[in-house]
Amino acid sequence: MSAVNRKIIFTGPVGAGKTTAIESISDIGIISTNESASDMTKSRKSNTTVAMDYGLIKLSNNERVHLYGTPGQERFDFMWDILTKGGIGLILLLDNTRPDPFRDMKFYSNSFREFIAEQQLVIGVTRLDLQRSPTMQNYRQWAEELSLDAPIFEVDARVREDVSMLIQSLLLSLDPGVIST
Amino acid sequence: MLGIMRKKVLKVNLLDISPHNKAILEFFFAGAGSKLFKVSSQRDADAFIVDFDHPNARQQWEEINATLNKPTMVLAFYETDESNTVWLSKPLTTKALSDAAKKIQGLLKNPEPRAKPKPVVPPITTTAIPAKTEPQTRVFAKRAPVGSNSAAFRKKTSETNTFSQTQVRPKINTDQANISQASKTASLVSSQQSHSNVNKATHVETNKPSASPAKEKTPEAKKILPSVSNEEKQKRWKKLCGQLENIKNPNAWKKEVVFYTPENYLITSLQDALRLTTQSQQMVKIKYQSAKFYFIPDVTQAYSSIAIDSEEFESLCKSPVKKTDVVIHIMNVKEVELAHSTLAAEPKSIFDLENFMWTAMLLTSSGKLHRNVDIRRRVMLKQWPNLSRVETFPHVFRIAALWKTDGFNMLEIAHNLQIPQRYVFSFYNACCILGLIEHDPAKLKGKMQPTSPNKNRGLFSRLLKRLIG
Repeated sequence: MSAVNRKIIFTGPVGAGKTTAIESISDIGIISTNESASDMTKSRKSNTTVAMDYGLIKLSNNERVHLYGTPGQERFDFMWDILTKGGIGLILLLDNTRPDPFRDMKFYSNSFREFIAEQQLVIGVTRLDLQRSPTMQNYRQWAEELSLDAPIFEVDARVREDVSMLIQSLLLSLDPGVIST
Repeated sequence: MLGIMRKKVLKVNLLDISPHNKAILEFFFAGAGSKLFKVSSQRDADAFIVDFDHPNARQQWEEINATLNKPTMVLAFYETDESNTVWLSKPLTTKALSDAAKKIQGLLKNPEPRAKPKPVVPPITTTAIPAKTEPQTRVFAKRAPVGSNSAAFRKKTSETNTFSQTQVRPKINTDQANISQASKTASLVSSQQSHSNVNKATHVETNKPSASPAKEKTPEAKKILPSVSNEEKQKRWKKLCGQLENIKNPNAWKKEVVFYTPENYLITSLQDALRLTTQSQQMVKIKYQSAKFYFIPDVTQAYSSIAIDSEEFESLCKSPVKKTDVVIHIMNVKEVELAHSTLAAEPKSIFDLENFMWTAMLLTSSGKLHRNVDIRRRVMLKQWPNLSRVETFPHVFRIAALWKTDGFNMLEIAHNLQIPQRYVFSFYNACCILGLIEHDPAKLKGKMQPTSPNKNRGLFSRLLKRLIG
């Protein structure tokens, strides 16, 4: 039997929790390409992903779901196209404590617009516990303004259940008839 | 409590602190803590206050303290062992701040010996990566799976509640002192952890993936919430969604559906209050008998004097009330001040507003339908509810996913998904109260067909099973 490999991509700005989210759900210890931050990123965290993060969910010996995290900085956008090839969906993590989460939503949804049109987008809002505004209702309004048809959940990237919910909604949005077997 | 502390005002300088905690501190300093604290410049200050969970705060504090060396109040989730500091566990409380002030005064009288300077570690040099080029230097660090380190964290998690505490000054157009500024909000979810430490991969100068040493494992990762037994879940679902049987004859549905009249229950008053707080952007108070609720619009939170998972709250939602017995009003300045103290003292009583309304609606309707609902009418889900933060029940994700694709009536959803109708009715009721249902037939897509199976359905099924367990 031939092996089945599928990809789910995690993207979003620096510090939104992409690496952590993959780590929360991955069956293996994730592989990170971290560097010491040397630019504006430093103001948010000391290390940052420069190429990609990689995690894996093994369903069987022949079935694997690969989890890729894109680097957050926009100057690494050349990696994004490479990472999304063959992906089944995109999980966009937005950090609520950043100065302009709407701008982030707009930027990333635009950057991945072709992929989103073909597949499915799910949005996870992180750090709402640290800063309650903008609210979930704001995010829904923004998504409507940007014509994004995506489930939007508040998540804590460290919580497996939260990351799991993002993936569940991704799968069910792609195929509402799917049931767990 | 504060009277005991009426000694010398402590001059403090605020270093890096998250906006939320800063707002709390400023509020405290302006009111109850004005006789204890005074914000001052770095040089003039007796002490510093810093939030170690804030990115780079510790580094900044170390740099400043190296020259000025003043006692410091450290806000952090975990205890710090730095000398000449007083740790304040989050969430902040008035008492903790008062006690900390006392301890700092003590340190000023008898300063602790300065800690030995830490050895200077040369910064890791990395090659800056020019845009659109392959990185010159790439460091691979494989993270080991989270192991024993996470146990302590899980313990801590299970001991803490997951609700938010909010301290709010609502927007009130008044010249009165202290209240003139717009809402200042802070959130203090006690289970929160700063994300600032989560990305500590090993910097190994090699191109080969290498396992991180145990010390590098992040305790924050793979945070596991306390599990609830299946029996408890079933019990709760019965309360939320009822136990009504399916309608057997859809053509005679009116004879079989169990209706209820929302106007006879508290939910209608809560809905009115929600509308009022949303439109006015002011804090609104709802009082019914001994129960009281505050709706806080700018942070979309609700204070409830009764725990929403308690039998008392269930009983309150399910018992008929006279609408005239429920008092709803926009809170005045004095009430806001009082509410503020209540919020600070009762963080467990603060809930996400959507979750609060969702739960109240489910408990009220319990699988029944509004007496004016036509279950044959096709409607659509405008947007997914925040399912990670509201109380979920069986099939809720599947209902949302299917209803998001197009207009269906409730019976069609239950039939297509082969699930009990009461879950669809419950989902519909809860989404209605949050304004997430599209009733306008002109806005429905009109396909009226479930989407065709995805070519990856088999894999999706197995992945779902893995995720749900």
